[in-house]
Amino acid sequence: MNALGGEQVSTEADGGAPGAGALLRVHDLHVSFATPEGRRVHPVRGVDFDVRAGERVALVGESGCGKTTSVLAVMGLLPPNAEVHGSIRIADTEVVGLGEHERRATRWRDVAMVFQGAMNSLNPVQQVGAQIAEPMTVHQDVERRAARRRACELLELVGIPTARATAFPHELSGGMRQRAAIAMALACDPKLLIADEPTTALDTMVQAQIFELLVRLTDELGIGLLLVTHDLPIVMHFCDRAGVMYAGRMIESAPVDRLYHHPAHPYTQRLLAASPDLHTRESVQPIPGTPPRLDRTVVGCGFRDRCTVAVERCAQEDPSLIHVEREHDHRAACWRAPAAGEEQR
Amino acid sequence: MSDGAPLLELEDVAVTFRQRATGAPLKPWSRVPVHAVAGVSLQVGRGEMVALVGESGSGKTSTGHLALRLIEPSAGTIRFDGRDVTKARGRQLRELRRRMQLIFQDPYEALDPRCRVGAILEEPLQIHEPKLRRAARRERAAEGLARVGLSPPATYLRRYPHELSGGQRQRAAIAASLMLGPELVVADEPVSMLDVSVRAEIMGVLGSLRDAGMGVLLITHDLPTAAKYADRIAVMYLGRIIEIGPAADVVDAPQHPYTRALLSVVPRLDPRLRKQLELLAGEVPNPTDVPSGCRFHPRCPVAFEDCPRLDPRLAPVPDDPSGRHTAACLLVNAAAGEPAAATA
Repeated sequence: MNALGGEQVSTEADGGAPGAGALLRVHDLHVSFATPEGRRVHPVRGVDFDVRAGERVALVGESGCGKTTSVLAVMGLLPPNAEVHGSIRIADTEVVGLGEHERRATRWRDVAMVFQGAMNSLNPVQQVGAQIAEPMTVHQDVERRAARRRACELLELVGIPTARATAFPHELSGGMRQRAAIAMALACDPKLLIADEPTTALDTMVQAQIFELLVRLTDELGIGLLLVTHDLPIVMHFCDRAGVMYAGRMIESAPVDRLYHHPAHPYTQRLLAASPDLHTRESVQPIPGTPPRLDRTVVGCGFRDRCTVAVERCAQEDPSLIHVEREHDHRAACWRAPAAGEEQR
Repeated sequence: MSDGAPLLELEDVAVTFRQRATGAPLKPWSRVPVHAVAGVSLQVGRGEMVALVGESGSGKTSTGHLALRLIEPSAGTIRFDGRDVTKARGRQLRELRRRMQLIFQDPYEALDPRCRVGAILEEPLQIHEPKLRRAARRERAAEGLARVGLSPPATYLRRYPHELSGGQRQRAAIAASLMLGPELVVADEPVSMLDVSVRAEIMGVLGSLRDAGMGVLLITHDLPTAAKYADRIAVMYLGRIIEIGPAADVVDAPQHPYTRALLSVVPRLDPRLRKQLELLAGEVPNPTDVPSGCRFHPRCPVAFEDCPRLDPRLAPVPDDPSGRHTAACLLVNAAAGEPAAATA
């Protein structure tokens, strides 16, 4: 589809073997859906990211950029009309192409997920302790009594008094319900926790409490965290690395410090300029235009119509995600971003 | 900014709902009073944007609804354009409704999915200006769309809400709110459902309304947005305003311990400015059971023995050059040489 230049070889060939020892390696992930009208929609069109043990990685982007679809593909929870291509390796096991039976073995035990609005998806007529114990009895053949005991430990771990194990969801506040949902995700000792917008509809103070909890869990348990969000300040404050997604593509990936101080992709730059910061008085700038429709084939760079520095090449060839700086594994997919090779000799 | 009488003036307003307590039987007599707003005084001038910030349950939406007379105050006075409208009824209230409008949080729900944008915009004119001819109505609707930056208006008038993006939909909803030329708009979380890339657009539209002389009451839990766009910020906690002042003063030199805590948990954009967040324990208490004295004392990191007994009033903060920055905290009151507050 695109003419690869000397620097634009596949990422595995790069030095330092990125993803060595990674809990999760996603490479060139494509997801498409067949619509009832016989068309195909491509919400994910080439996404790469890794998550290592103890690392907090964010997938950032606006609604419709494919971030939730990507993590649902990782969980193997896409509907039957979805077609997945590329590679998803969970703890060194390739899971693309596995059947539902094999996928069930990794779900909850290797990767667990806190869903968007999880606090509102608890069963209203079951005590929270019992709900947290359920995945253990289903996925790990743990005996019921032992599972209940473990559920109490998990509640304590996430900051809910064990006495509340017999509470029903409506008796808990929103923040408490979200903590319970996190405890449930931790039930089978996953190596990787995926959290999709875990604090939507929660207040600033409770949001901070939930993120401090997630940070503490990754530090104490050594698990990896994959956070899906559109909130840049949250990413900058709580995560180690971030991948910025646009129109189904990963367009930049870097440690958060690099991303803030040296954003390489124009979209990342515009996203930062559109995010208000508490104490800076610079005006925030909207990004005019809308992302391309995903039921059409996107030729060239998906951002070019909204990009202020686009050149002719951007309309013809889709840039691939290449290094702009190697030391911090900073990559961008933009014809205008300087490639690391040319930059540093 | 506000010369003469302010556009909107709330004086010591309160509203009490009756709610069934959790777990109580479904009987009228098991209801308990909820003091959603407990004595709020607030002014919004012409050409001024005032932000009401606070956590959910702090009473900010109820205060906005009181300002629009959508709910009845149980105590206090509401003045609009210098006139007491607390007891306005019937024709007087209808007349008032033309002059004040609400902008909703969710542009997906605020627009009728079966009506074209043009019809949605023309409906208030059909009701309030029945003599207007069809062509004139259409023209007014087109003007309305142009005012919020949806151009060319002709193409948007024919569209249905589902054919618009989130940002366009919120612009159309704002245009509908502005059709009757209100002097006051209350915007309840107008951007919290939208993507970052369009938030700045919508806030820019609200800013232009303010610049055109409207009074804007912005209700939000997003402190960076309030800091960026509002002239003044009022911080609410459990039905009370606990600090109010010019936006920059409140954000850069917060006086009330609650404001300080709320600001300290807002993550900064620059990762190099990371710091330990000063988390408050627990959540906003239930307004059916308000703590004695200062309502914030059970969660306050600097509470002392007087706090559970004395209810602090809004008083000027020390060393405030503008004289418009006030806070309700015994420590601030003492530092500013104010007399002790009323006993609880």
